[in-house]
Amino acid sequence: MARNRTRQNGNAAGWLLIIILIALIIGGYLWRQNGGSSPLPGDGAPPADETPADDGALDDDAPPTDDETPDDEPADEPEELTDIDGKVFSYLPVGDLLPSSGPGFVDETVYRENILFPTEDPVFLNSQVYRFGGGMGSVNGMEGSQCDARNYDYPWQDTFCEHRDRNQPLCPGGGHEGLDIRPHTCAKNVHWAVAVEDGRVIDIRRHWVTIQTPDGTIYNYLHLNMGELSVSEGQQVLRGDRIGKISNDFFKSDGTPVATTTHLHFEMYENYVESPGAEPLFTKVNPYMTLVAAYDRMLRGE
Amino acid sequence: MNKLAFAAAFTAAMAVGAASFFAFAQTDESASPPERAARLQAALEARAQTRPRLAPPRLGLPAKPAEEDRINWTEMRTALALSARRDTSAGQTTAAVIARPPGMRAAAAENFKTVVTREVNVTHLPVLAPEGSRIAQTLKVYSLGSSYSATAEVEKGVAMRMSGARKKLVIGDLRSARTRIAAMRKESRTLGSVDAPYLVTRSESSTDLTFAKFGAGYVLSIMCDDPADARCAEDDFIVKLASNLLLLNPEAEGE
Ligand SMILES: [Zn+2]
Repeated sequence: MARNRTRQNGNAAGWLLIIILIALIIGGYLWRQNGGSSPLPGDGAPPADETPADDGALDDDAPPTDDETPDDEPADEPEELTDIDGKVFSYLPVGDLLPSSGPGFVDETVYRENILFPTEDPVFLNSQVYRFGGGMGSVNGMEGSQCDARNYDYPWQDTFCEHRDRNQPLCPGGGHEGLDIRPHTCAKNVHWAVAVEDGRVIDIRRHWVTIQTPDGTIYNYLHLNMGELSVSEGQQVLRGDRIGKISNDFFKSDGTPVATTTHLHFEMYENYVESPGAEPLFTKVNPYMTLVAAYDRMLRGE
Repeated sequence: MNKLAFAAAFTAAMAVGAASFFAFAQTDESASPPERAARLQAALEARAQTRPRLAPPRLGLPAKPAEEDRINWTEMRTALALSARRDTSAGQTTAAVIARPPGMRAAAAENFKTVVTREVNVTHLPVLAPEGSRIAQTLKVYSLGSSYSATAEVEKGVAMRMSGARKKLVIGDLRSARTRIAAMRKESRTLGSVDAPYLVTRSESSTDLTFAKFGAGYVLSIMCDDPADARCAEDDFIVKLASNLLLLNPEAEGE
């Protein structure tokens, strides 16, 4: 009896081992079929500071959101807003940065409701550092050149408080207090940056052009083609006036060039209070929603 | 017994199989960089928003201009007198042993060969700029009436811009911005030159010091060749710069 039970237990253990092996193989096979990604629900919107390993949780063969209308549909205008190339404009929420690229800064404020968008052509807001052609692109598997077509497409993505070397109060652990804007194409010195509202050119130095408005708002345009600007220091500018062509100019004060991608780094300072009567803070602010709103108006021809 | 053992073994094996499936699924290590990039790109597209062509909902939360934009000119003159008194008593008691105390000192725009006097005269708020020998030689002022900016070279490798504005915006996104503002304010200390709380923020392109005084908001920005330069990476340099300010329109009055 005792021996019989031992033999039975031995048989059961053998079966267990075989079945575990089969289950492991099936599990692994299912995982490969899923493209190695998690099928768990609820992974649609991870926080901006999640690690890259936790992100990208989607089926490879899931259709992109742009392609929801079937191809055989008549060439009616899509229900969504498109740019002049017929691409559907889409954008990620404010503060939703690439994985491991920084804390971001959620601020839904549209600081200036009537400004013009700072470029003449459609553009792509996204990271210059953590995408194709950027120094940290490999963090997200985005190895390639800055001219990779995937850099020149929607959705837009916020880069305010993208990680840089230093800490400061607005971006704990971060330090990029502007938005990076790729021009319409990867060609430099072609696409124009324009004044977003009436104001005055108060500084042209190294690789920046600074414009201020009577309300105090300051706009900084970085990396234009500084040798061929359309404005001079002290000049009054009107909304829509051309300032310069988007390039990759980046200089130290002695003229030594620094490498960067072809893009417009756009900054905005506001003098603001959280409630009427409070003492103001005059700092850089996140222009993301201000620019989304301005682009929306531009695409509508307003 | 055999059936029971088989059932137990089968259940356990299925659990192990499921666990291994999810364990594999949680790691992305075997994916090639192009696979990871494609998956990330697809995830971004999946949570992106589009804009309807017709009847679009409002975007974001609009900021509103604050009603109050008055300058307290009396406070400006009092501060100037107080600073002068501090300078006098420091001069009398310490001779040359101790450096001048922080202060705000009157300076005529005509004394700076690069400043256009008219720019200062048409500015409807106190025009402040930091002191310094190289600044004095390169200082420029641009006025927009209710706002202004002064720019200059500070030292080799450091440029500056000091801006002031009367008008304020009441920010739209109270939920998150108020929290951040409170955190920022908590760090503020007092600037000796104007006896006002200040805050230093730091970013890739500049180090900024902001304070409010006389009813206006001010920001001093310094731009270093290298953001890691101690003059931009630490507070000392910019705080010292803001601790000795010139008032270029001491005779200005309310309109
Ligand atoms: Zn940038």
